[in-house]
Amino acid sequence: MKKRYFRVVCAAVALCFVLAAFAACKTNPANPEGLENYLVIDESKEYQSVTGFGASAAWWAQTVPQGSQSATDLAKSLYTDDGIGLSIYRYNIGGGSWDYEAYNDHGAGDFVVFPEYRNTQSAFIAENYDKSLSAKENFAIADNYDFSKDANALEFMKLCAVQEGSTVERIILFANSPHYLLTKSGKTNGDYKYQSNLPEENYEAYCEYLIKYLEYVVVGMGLDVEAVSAINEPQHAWGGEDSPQEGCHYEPEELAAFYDVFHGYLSDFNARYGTTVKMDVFESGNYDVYKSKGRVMEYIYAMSKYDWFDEIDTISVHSYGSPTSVEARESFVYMLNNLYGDKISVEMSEICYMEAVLDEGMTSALWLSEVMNKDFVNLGAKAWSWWMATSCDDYNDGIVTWMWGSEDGEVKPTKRYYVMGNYSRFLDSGDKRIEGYVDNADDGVFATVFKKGNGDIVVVLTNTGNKKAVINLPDGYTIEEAYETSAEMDLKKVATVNSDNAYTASAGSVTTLILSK
Amino acid sequence: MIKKAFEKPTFLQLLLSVAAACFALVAFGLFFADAVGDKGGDGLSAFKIAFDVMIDGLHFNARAFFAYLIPLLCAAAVVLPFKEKKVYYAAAFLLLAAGIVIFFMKEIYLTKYTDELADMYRKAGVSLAAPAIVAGVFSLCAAGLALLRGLAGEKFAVAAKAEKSEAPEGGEKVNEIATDGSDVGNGEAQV
Repeated sequence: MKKRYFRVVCAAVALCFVLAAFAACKTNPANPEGLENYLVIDESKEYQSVTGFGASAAWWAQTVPQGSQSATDLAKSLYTDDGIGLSIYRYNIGGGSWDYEAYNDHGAGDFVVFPEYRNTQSAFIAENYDKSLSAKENFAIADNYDFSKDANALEFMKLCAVQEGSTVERIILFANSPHYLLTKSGKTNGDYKYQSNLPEENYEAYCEYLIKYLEYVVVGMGLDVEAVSAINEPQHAWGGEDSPQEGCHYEPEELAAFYDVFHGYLSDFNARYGTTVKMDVFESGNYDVYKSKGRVMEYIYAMSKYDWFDEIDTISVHSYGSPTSVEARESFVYMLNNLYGDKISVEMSEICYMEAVLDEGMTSALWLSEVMNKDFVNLGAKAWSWWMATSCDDYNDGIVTWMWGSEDGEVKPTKRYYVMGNYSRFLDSGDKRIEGYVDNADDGVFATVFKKGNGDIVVVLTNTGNKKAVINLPDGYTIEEAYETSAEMDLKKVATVNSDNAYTASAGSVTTLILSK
Repeated sequence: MIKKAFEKPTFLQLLLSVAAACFALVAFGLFFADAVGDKGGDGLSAFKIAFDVMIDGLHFNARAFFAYLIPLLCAAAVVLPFKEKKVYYAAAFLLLAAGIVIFFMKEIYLTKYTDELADMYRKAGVSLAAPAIVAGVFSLCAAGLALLRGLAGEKFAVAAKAEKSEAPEGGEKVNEIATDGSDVGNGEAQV
């Protein structure tokens, strides 16, 4: 009998040890009590400063009727604090595919209702092209340009920048392809996949083209332009029968050689007008360092051989390829640091939800929040931009839906819009990301934490799970405000029950918590 | 009972075969785990190094492929009861070679780049991934076990032959012959 009791006691003691060991695993210096869903905030660890949030005006802005209600509504919803307060405007310098209706009836896929809207207007008047002159000479002639051809897009950009309460801080002009008259294929995509479509003899002509646009926007329209991005996703194929949009492939050495020429043109422009317009390099299609078609490090390495690379402090990348991979991001940052130290920082300049099933609800919105979190935390991104600001209710590439070309079509935000607003509306340029995460988190619960200039802490809390999560806040912090996006809420202010210093995050929600000390 | 079982050369052979095969199979299984990686966390599997979809099509890297395929073939070889012990020695040799090649997976991966780019990737921090190190070690372990399997087979063959020829005079002779002929006198000393 005694033996039996002894065994029971031994078993109980062993169980206690196991449980204690299990509990001990959940405690750590940041969470000494081992609380579940404990929000850790360490203000002493500061990381990158935020430089903005944006979206591109490619394709759709050229269909916004000037002076229309649509223009007013779109500008307000995207670039004021009455909307989501984006600060980066990405204007697309078209390659002129509208001239020959390149993408009207092929390539874009059945799910795209208006493939013709992937054609872009160009200010260059193709009819004026004089074959007795070189391409450079043709594209250097000011009279060969008519910017009224792209007036809708240009005027919409101006409206966003100068409207009352505008939040536009940075204008970036970007091109997906050189003008079709400058390419080997004579089109804004290659004849075949991976065709380097810009011949070396046209580097200067393409620079003339870009500078003419820059000159028009800066001098003609009086807008401040921060950067020109001449190349977009150079590692991609951008050629063949199924090319659905403008694009141009460059090999790494070609890309660097082109930038070398363009740097000279941009320096001359800056000297002429007293501006500080930069080259935005290089809108890498991804940050995958191990995928054969990734090649991001090869492009950076090619650029590093030139003197002007010393002036480059930021690389722009897109989050396609491995959008939810922590490892892909961290490998890229690790390699970047090994090769170039802390000289180079990163901006994420394009992503969209590339699922063929149309989603305007929380599925893609929660995905967006996950990508944003990982881009800020694991990639160290300073800025974050979505691909197109609007879509035609036919694909997941916009954050609002609007019938392109309509005078007064309804501007209908998707949940992606509101979730992006969970970040963009509460963060300003200069706000710093600080150490912060949810310790002992339930599956799908994570946080991105920032510190504002006034000392407030902004926590963007995501709960992708299908049950609510009680988030335990650290001592000393009080929730001032909370804004929730979920199936029921559209970035709406919600009550902040804080009696137990905890906040309950709804299932499938993204919430911005403003904390004070 | 167990002790007696160990004393039987056939059981020992079986044990060595299964152990070698297990090590070799795990080594092969790691074909689908990272072979190169970095401290940042991402990596590339040996499978993807072997079958690399590059811009101009699918490229086959024979070194990466065979370094991992050999353990699979050898795993099959060592579990089959070959009378010819050289089969096991050959398997051991191939597994040894495979293990060594696996330890060079980083360089094998970098062969697709020019020397300049390969050097850039080395500086960037590409290194042999932990699963490849495990695969290499396991392949070497399998090689060692396959070698022992061959040796155990040799001793068994000698012992069995002696037992057969001298059986009428008494079973005890087995141990005598075995003890005289090698360091294998009984089950405890066979390996």
